Amino acid sequence: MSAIGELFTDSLMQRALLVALLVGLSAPVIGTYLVQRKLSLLGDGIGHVALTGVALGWLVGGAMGLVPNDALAIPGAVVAAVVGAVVIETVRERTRGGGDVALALLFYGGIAGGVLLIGLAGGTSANLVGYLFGSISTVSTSDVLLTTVLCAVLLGVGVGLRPALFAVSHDAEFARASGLPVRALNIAIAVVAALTVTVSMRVVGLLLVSALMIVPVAVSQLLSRSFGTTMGLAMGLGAAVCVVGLSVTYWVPLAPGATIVVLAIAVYLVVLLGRGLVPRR
Amino acid sequence: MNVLEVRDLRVDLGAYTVLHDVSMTVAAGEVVAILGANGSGKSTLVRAATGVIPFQAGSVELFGTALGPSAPLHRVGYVPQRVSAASGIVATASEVVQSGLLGRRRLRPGRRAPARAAAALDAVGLAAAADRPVTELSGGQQQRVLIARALVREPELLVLDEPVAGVDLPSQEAFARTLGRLVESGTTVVVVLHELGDLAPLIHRAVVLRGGHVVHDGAPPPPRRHHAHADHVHVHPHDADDEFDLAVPSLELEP
Repeated sequence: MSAIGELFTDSLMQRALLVALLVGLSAPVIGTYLVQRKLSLLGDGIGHVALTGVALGWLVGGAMGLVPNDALAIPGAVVAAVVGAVVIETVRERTRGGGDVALALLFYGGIAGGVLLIGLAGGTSANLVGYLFGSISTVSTSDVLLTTVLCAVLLGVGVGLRPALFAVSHDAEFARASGLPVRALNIAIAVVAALTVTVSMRVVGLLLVSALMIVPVAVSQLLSRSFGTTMGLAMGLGAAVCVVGLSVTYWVPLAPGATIVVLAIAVYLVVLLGRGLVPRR
Repeated sequence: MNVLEVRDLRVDLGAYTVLHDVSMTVAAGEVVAILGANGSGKSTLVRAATGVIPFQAGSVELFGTALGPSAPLHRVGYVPQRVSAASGIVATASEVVQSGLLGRRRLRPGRRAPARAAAALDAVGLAAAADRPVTELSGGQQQRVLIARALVREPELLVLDEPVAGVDLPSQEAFARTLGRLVESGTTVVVVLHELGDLAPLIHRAVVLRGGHVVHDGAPPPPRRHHAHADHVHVHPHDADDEFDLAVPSLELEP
């Protein structure tokens, strides 16, 4: 019991747990719309592009002589992710859901661009590891503040506009005939997905961001019979796996991001196998 | 004032012109069938007329207002041609129907949404299915959910794209009853059909398209003889281009 008390009194751990809780709660909201649109891998694509933003921020920060020289890495990631998400959405719209090859080019360009730019910034790809796999153990007070604000925006848009986002994701043709601002709502989903990627980057890293958005929804899908329950349950599951996964790494020396994702997938498998025994809601 | 007025409409899909200078009008209270074979452009016509797809030339007016940011789309209920009412995430029939309450200035469906959705589902004979996932419903029932989604808007103009193609018989009958009640209450209806079938008694006028041109606008064409049999199933999703024999003399004799 005292060990658990220790977990919650350690101020670094308090900050990390708060960030994990907020991100775990927010990421599945946009994940629900992505799964509904059959775009589960969009988060991965945005994550790839965000890496170029991280390196670009680093390069610009270095050129401006900022200390630390990665001060612009997060803003760079936010800008690149938003631009990337809007480009992806536009390509998707223009090509009626296709544009497969164009999207692939964007994704690989994102990773390659990141590695290339970090070299130009005088760093090595080792500098990118924290962004690729998460660095929740170094969360500062200003990180907590930024995460809180971003998560409030994500929840405000994702939950507040749920009826309209549901309508557009469910049947864009009908939404257009109803007069809904389909393009604006699609862009809103893309931008919120981009912000989710950058806010989750700290917890699980760019390579695993999508897992936090999608796996809780996949678990929830197995148990729910309505869209509303699916989203609510996914938010609860996301928050739970983030907090529990991170807590485990307080005692066991494991990578937090990977622990959280493996835990989420383990929950998925347990629920999948035990589904026959659980009454569906 | 006409409910729908389409003038010299041209729609291109890629390099291919699907509709060539199509004009048609629908007056208040009319029930108009748009007929034609696959590829004749009938779905394209209603999709362009409701703002779902853009058009390259001509004009569309709904209730006297040109299609655009100020078009009164809240007075229109559209039922797209669909095999399924499902998407990537499970949703109940009520949730799908409630999405019909939204519009340009309405991003939230309002507090009475569940009750209104229940009433719309009741109108298509699916009152008991409100809280069931649409994936558990039959194809015909899912189509009725999409009709309820249009009806919940209490539309003055109902536009339906092949509402009975490939739909089970009970759903076809439920649909004919629902449509009959709506027509009685004065709703204007534009319905894309492969053939008139059981809906024939409800139809006031038919616009027939062939190759993107209007080839007939007037009295509904009589059914071909073998279609008149009571036990004939009126579903021809992949017919050839000769569905309507417009040369039949009886057509000219119709008032």
